[in-house]
Amino acid sequence: MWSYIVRRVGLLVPTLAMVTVLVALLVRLLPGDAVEIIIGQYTPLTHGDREAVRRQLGLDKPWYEQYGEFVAGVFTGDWGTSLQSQQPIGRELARRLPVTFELGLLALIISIVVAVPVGVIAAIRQDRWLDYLMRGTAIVFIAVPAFWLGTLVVVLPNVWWGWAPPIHYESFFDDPLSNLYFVIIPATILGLGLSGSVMRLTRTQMLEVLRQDYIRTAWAKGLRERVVILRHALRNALIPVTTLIGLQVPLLVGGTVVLETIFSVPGIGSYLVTAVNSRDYPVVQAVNLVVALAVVLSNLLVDVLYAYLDPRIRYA
Amino acid sequence: MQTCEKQGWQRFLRRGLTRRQFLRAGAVGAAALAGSVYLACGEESAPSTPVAGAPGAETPWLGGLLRFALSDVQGRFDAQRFPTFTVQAFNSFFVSRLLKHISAPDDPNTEDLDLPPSDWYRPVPDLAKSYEVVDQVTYIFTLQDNATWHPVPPVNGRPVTPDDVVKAWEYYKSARPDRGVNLAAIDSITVAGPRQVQVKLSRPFGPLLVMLASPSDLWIYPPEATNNPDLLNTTLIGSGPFILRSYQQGVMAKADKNPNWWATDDRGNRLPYVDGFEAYVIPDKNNEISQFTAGRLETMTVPSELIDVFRRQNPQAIITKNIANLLTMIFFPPAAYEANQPPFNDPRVRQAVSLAIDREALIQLASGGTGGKKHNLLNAGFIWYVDPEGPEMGDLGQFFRRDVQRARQLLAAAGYPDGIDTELHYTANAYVTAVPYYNPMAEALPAMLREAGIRARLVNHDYQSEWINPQGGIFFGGLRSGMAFALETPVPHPWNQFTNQFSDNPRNHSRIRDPEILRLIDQLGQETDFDRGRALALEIQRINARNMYYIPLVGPYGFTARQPYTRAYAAPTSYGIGSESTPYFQIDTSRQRL
Repeated sequence: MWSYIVRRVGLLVPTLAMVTVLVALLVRLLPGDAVEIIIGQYTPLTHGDREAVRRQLGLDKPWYEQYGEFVAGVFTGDWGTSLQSQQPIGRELARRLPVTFELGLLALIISIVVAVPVGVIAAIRQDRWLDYLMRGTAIVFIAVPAFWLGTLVVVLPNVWWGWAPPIHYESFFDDPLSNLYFVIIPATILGLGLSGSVMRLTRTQMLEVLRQDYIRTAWAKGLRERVVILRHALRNALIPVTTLIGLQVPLLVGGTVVLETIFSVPGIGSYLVTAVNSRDYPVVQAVNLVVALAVVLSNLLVDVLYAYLDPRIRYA
Repeated sequence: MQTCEKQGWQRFLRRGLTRRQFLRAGAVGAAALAGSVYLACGEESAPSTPVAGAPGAETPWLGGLLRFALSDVQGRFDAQRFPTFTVQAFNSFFVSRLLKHISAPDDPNTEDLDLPPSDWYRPVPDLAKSYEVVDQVTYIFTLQDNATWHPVPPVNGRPVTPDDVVKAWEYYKSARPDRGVNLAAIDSITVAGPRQVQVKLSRPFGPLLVMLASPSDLWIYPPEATNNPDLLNTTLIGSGPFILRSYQQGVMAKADKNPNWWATDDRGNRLPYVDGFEAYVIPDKNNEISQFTAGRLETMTVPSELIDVFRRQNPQAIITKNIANLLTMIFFPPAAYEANQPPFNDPRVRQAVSLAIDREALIQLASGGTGGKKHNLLNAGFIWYVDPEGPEMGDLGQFFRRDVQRARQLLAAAGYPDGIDTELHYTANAYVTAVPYYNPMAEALPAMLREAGIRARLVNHDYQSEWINPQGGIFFGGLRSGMAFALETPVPHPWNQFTNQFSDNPRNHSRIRDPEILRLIDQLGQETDFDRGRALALEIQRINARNMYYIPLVGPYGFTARQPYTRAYAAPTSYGIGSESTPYFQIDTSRQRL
């Protein structure tokens, strides 16, 4: 097991290198001049002025040199400086990561809290109207994009009742209630989106497990339904579900990018959007590195957890 | 030294009082009104409200928290190092300029701003309460008697001194990425007295006052801030109407009223009227509208495509409309002027192009049906704009109205009875979000032109490599044939725009050399009188309309809304909004939901 983990960690490096190289290249292919966006598109810069600013920002160097400096900085704990704000990126990431983490965690919790019971109920009421209703709802959750649902939540209650989502983010440690009120809406939208596939897998796994011999034995022993379902069936059915939840981290990240913009959440998703729009290359690289790291680590965690939950799994 | 009669403010403000404003101020009486325009020689007292729309008879509402959405400055505070309009607009709440632009009276009964076009962008006092023109190259500015820095460390409310202005000027020169090209005519700024600075020019420079009023250029920061980049990068200290209390990048800014700001209204109330503001970063416009509808914002800008929805949701909102300072235009290849290359060397062909364009339809397209204005060579949101179909343009207005028959006749007279085959060049990947109507307009133009026999193939160019590339990009004189549909770079003063468009300059997109226009630009560059400057600009616009060197198109309205429980005697006309209009914003706190 340990050798497997070491090998997987070893693979992190080339994976992250590939991601960051790709991002560094692609962001520079975007149309628009970073200098003009940063300095002001309408400032009458001469060619010489523009080149001087480019030099000052370090943009006159070839992209691979800029990339090399970025990577070298990351290894020494320096995430670089934003071209826009001239402030350390590390400081901004430290401020924004907990916000996105909170949003993502809450969304994950909501998706599990919604999906697992619904999946179990759908399985034990297989092919009845409740099952059809829940499966249909799950498909709606999968099919409806978060940005659309987010926009509806912003617009429709406002039209009907004059209600609007909260406007101002407060840190959890400063004002927990305000913080939860602010985060719960985008987290619910994100969580519902994720819950569809979790619910469907939970149902499928439950149906499979409920047909196993040991479940029949449990029924035959005269155990109560609650014990059979929760203790014997669900625990085994949840093993693949756990892996699915872990694999949803990339979807979670994608969702936060959109929902943070719609609901003005000051996390790394909105930071990334702003950075892309303003061609703030170091910020785009840094945020993508963090996101890639989160995705790769969550995948590793899922693999390890899978082996832990199912003792039959052995990694060579 | 010129007499007081020659001094700027008196005449500017006297002209700024329209009939409607006069009536509005009637109950206060002539004495108060006279007081409001008394700025003569400026030594006795600070001026009253330097805005065209004075509160007049109504008792002002004092206090309240103003809430609005903010374009995030992304941690950039220094408007000299980062001269983007976002940073400059943010600075305008906290930092003074020597002068600022006059604001428009905001009449709740009409969506049109109640400011005559001739007054648009007039300079009025900000940190300087008056000026004297000593000679053509020497100006003396007298600072407000009671101007102080914000009561925060390290300046701690000390008076603003002439030496501070000198140091701010030195910082401007050293920090600007464009090396201060807009104010290149200023040779020096020196201390001229206990409350005075002398601005010495290297040559007569007519646009000086408007340029000093523009939020594009000289901001008066305290030397304590400019000497300490860490301080300037983390907060904004100035002598403006508000004091920055906190700023969270991507979240919000909080500010309190500056209790010591120099300005008072006619009744002696210190401005700003509100106690402070909270400005939130709300990237999603739907969310912003929802917040306004829920009563969490007092004012917001509404994009034209959402104005109908907005009106339905907020029938009580008070709305004003305005045109952005941005010119849409068509220009022709340099070879048409330099090498007499047909067909666009012939002014009749260029006039035919203008006549073929259905500007009303373009306005509908650009605004989503909410309306807009036809541009002249100066765009409809800019100082000294003249309605191209108005009386001042005389019979030249005909070239701004669609007349397909006449266009065909002009083409035939120019030797093209069967019309012409040409191209219309544009760039589709630059303005999708910033100017969303640009691409649809480009796509609509060929069909309009075709009806007049001008068969223009639409050709798209990459913005970075082919459009604004300084080495032969289309925008910088690289158009080889056909026509180009472009946005003109906004500048602080018409003199800049005309110089760019007609003199030896990379932004003379078509390399036009018109000796008459060059002579007028030269005159304009030296003209210190606001109204004579306007007359010169009008003449240049007339010559352009006659020759259609540049074919001006249209701009859609943008909308600003405010809650029914607010008054805004000054509506924003420039992005110097923080000191030009916000100080006059009033809130009926008994009706405000916090």
